[in-house]
Amino acid sequence: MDNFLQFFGTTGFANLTVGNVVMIAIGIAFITLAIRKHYEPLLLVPIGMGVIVGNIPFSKDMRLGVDNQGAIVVEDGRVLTETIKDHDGAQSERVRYIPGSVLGYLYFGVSQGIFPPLIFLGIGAMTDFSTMLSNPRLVLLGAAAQIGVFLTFLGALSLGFTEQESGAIGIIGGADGPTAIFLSAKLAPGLLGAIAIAAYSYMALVPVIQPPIMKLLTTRRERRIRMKPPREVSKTERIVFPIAAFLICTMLAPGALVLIGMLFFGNLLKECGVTERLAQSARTSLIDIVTILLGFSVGASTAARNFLQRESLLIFGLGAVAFAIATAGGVIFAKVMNLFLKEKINPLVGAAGVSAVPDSARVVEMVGLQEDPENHLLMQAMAPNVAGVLGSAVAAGILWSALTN
Amino acid sequence: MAFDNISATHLQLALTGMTVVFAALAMIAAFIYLLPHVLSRLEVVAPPASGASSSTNGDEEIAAAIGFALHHHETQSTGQPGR
Repeated sequence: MDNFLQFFGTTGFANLTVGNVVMIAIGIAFITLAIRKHYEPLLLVPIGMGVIVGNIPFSKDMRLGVDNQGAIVVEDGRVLTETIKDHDGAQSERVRYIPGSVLGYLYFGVSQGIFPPLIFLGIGAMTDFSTMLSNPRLVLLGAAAQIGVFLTFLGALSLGFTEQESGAIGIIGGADGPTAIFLSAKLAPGLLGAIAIAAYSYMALVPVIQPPIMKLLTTRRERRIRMKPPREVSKTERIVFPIAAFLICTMLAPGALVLIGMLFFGNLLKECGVTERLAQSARTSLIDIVTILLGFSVGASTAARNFLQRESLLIFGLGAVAFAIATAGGVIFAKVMNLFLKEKINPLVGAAGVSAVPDSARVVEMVGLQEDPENHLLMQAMAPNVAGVLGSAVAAGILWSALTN
Repeated sequence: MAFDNISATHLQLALTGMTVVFAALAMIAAFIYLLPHVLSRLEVVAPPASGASSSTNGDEEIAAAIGFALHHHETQSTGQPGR
């Protein structure tokens, strides 16, 4: 009986908290939303399953969580060593090392900011910058939407978060999951789980959050503005662009070097025409593998004792504000541009300046079609959409450079 | 909310950040605008070598060679062009 009770004490049932139950329910809700509503299924299924896995309680001695990334044993400031014997009986000394857990090793790619640049490589290899190259003025809309990042940074400061935490929270307004994870890993590792979940949740909810803001800020007449179809872009332009744009962005904001570098490297693989196999791997197998590992390990990092805190709720609130401001920023800036332009821009495309690619461009298309069933805005909206990816990566680089200790 | 937490340095960072983002994307926009003009000038100064702009890849060249060989063979054996 004692053995049974001892065993029962190690089971999840004995150690389950209300927080764990809540988090498991959230994980199930993510999976349900992904399957039934098709909200970002490629992200929400791995994250949802990760949340469930990360909230199964276990005894501390089992060292199964994402926190256990392995450690060297130090005592009184001295690294401890141990003697080992090989097959021939020869002895040697090695550093005493406590191995990490499997989840800990998977999470290493998140905590050290390795996965986000690899995802950017894949995004670069699948992104067609032609629409942006054919309509350069729409690039500015991608910059306008980044106002959400910097206003939320100030908002987070006013709520008592530290500078570093505020910078990491602000980047949720960039609506770019990998960028949010990258910056949180650098500036506020303790908030990484909450920020990542908030960023991906709002990206999944783009079709719900953006349309009311877009409609509120535009008149029916503005929503019906038709734009010229994009021009054909030459192959040389498409090859030159990633190299030149990389140089421009990183000379101004070197902090964006890794993200922008991988993005444009992926794009060069796609456009140069002689590395199709590499581009194909980057945009399919590589990005899929990294997305699985990133989504799952981020989900697994949301153990209730760390995640269900007041800070997480504030981060979710600030994330919603950031997203709304970013959307409004893009739309309002398009209206301001129209004051000076002969060929008017449909202000709806400003909403695509948040970088949730391609969801926000799809939302622009959807809202545009509601007003005029023959007015397709998808191609035009892709321009600020990919510019938004650049804008949020540059914003992340600036915040990282300015706030890193 | 405590707006006292926001110092002049923070406001400066937010403003500078927004300016740098705008500057970066404005420079990219300007570059994109100028690129076709620069490329067309370059084509005048240094026209691309004939064949260099060909969009055919290796497979298409091989297919064209096979097609030509078949056509040549049929013309030789029947005295008429193939179907």
